[in-house]
Amino acid sequence: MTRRSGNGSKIDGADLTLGILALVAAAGYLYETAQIPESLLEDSVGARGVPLAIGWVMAALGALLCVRGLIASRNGEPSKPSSDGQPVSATERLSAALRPHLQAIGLLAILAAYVALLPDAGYVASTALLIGGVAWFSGGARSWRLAAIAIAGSVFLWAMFDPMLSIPLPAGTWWESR
Amino acid sequence: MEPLGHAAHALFNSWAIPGALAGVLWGILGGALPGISPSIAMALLLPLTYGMEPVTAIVLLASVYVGAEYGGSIPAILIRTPGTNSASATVIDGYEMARQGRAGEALGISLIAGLVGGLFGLVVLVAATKPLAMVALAFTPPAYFALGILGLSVVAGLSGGSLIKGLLAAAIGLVLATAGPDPMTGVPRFTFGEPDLLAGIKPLLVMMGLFAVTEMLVQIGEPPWAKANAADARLKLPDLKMMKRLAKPTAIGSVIGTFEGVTPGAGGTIAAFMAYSEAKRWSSAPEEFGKGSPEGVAAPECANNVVTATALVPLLSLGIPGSNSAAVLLGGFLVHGLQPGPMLFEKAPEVVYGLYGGLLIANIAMVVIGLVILTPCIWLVNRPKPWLIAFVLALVVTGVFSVHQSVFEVGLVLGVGVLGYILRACKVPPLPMVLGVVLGFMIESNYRRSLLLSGGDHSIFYLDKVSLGLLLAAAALATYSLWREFGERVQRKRVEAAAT
Repeated sequence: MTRRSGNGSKIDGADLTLGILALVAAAGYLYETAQIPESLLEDSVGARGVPLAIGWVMAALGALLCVRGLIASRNGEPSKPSSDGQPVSATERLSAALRPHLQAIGLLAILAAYVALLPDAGYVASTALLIGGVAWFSGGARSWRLAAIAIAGSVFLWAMFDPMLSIPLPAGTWWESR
Repeated sequence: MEPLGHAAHALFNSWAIPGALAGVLWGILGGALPGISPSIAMALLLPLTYGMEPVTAIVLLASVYVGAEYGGSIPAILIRTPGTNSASATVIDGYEMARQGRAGEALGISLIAGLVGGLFGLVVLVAATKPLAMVALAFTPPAYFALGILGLSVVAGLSGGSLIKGLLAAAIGLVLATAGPDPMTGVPRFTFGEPDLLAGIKPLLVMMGLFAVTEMLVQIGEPPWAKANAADARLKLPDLKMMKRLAKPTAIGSVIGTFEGVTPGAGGTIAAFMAYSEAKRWSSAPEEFGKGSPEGVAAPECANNVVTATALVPLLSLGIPGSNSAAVLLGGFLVHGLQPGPMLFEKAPEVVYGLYGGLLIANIAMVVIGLVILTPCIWLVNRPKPWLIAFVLALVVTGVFSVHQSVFEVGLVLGVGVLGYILRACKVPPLPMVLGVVLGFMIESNYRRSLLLSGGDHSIFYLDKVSLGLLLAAAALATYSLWREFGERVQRKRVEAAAT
């Protein structure tokens, strides 16, 4: 959370990872830049000019982050600040560090399933599944209330957007073909 | 008198007044929910503004910002959990007051200090924006290019803590901005054969992903917040004696909020903490700070409400959003085909003056609604967190889909949310990325237009005095950020060495 921890500049292992990711992204971006077709209306910079500059700046920043991360690790700076000073085993620390990321991945999987389901299952059914699925996955108790609130919430949102604001939401190909 | 006429016409010939009231209500409720920042509360409404008149949409969004700053203080005072980042400083004395059974008094101080701050900020906004915009009217394409570069470097240098990470975020934003048609030749770039990318990536989608989806991905891994007790809170407005006592911290909050608000990248959180610290320094009872001092609530609450208006100065005059919320408001302008900056006063004066009038109404409405909304807020804060995450996500996907009825765009928003999550895990500030997306077109088109004018000669950027000044300012700021970062590192090493 940036709210309380802030975006401090403390050097940690994330610098190296971020630097490598930036270098890979810059390489991919520069490759794609090279694929941009030339135009007959080309000016002195061209359609590739600015993306090329951005790609190289990104690569340079990635390299700087890598160097900073490597210097930090050589100087023996801690990769993660200790949280409370209590002795914690490496496995426990890893497990605690990974838990929120795994939960985020789970949430993302539900959202991805929603995107895949939306055109076929339609808005009301897929949104009810989304609300119920996310609430349950986030720790909501599995009960008839969960299902009822999910369905009611989905119908409410549909009613707000579709009939009230006249914004068409997908009815779902599964139901149309029947 | 002409501006007043514009404001009155805009407000009384549109739905701007109901928009202000609805915005404040939504803002207070959203701000009261920990995890829903003002920018998220605004972003959730952004897709709904498509069908509105521009002035109604802008007033609605700006009013959400005003309401959210007060809303954020409610859980800060009642459950020691700031609803918004800028309410973090309010926790210190607000929660102490609540522990002493003075929660209602603290909430009343927050409300009145917020009103004073909001009105003071509005005066600064009205006084400062047009003169600054008039200066910017003389800008040439090289100056606009340099302004974009300065905007990116200011925000990259000040909003994060690490200049390299800030610049990287800005570069990622520029990468996203280059997707779509080339601004000069129209050649499609980075579209990967996807028709939905042919028109480029809309800033709206980046903001929804970066603010709302990323926050929910973070929230799911965070522990639930405490429950608020409705019996603890009977809102009590400060009496005359208390108002006299609060005059000094409110004045301090006003000055600091003005300075921090007009500085892109600084924002309400820094303003609130600085105001708290200065109010303590100048107080006749500094020993009470941290133990339930009313002054410790008034100063930060006033400062962060000043910022809600003064953060709009660089946005309206130069087109540079200095905070996340200002960036979402910029998204609102772009949705309606309006580009904030010097020409806005010429092209859509009714929107600018309507916004001023709307902010005035929003600040007054904040007090009226704030007096009656406390019980629903406490009910909302006490809802289980899983439902909050589920409904926010449902609202995000529905809102995004409603814009172009595109499932691809929903997927794109989720993708940006994941990118935001990774960047946040690596402590990369998000604001420079948003700025990169919204300023990318301006930077590239003015850079290339300048070179067309000069026949490809780059000396145009330093022969134009305004451009040279802005580029020098950007370089000076980058140097200052690096120097500050280096200084902090040296100091940290000294502290660590002293500890061992």
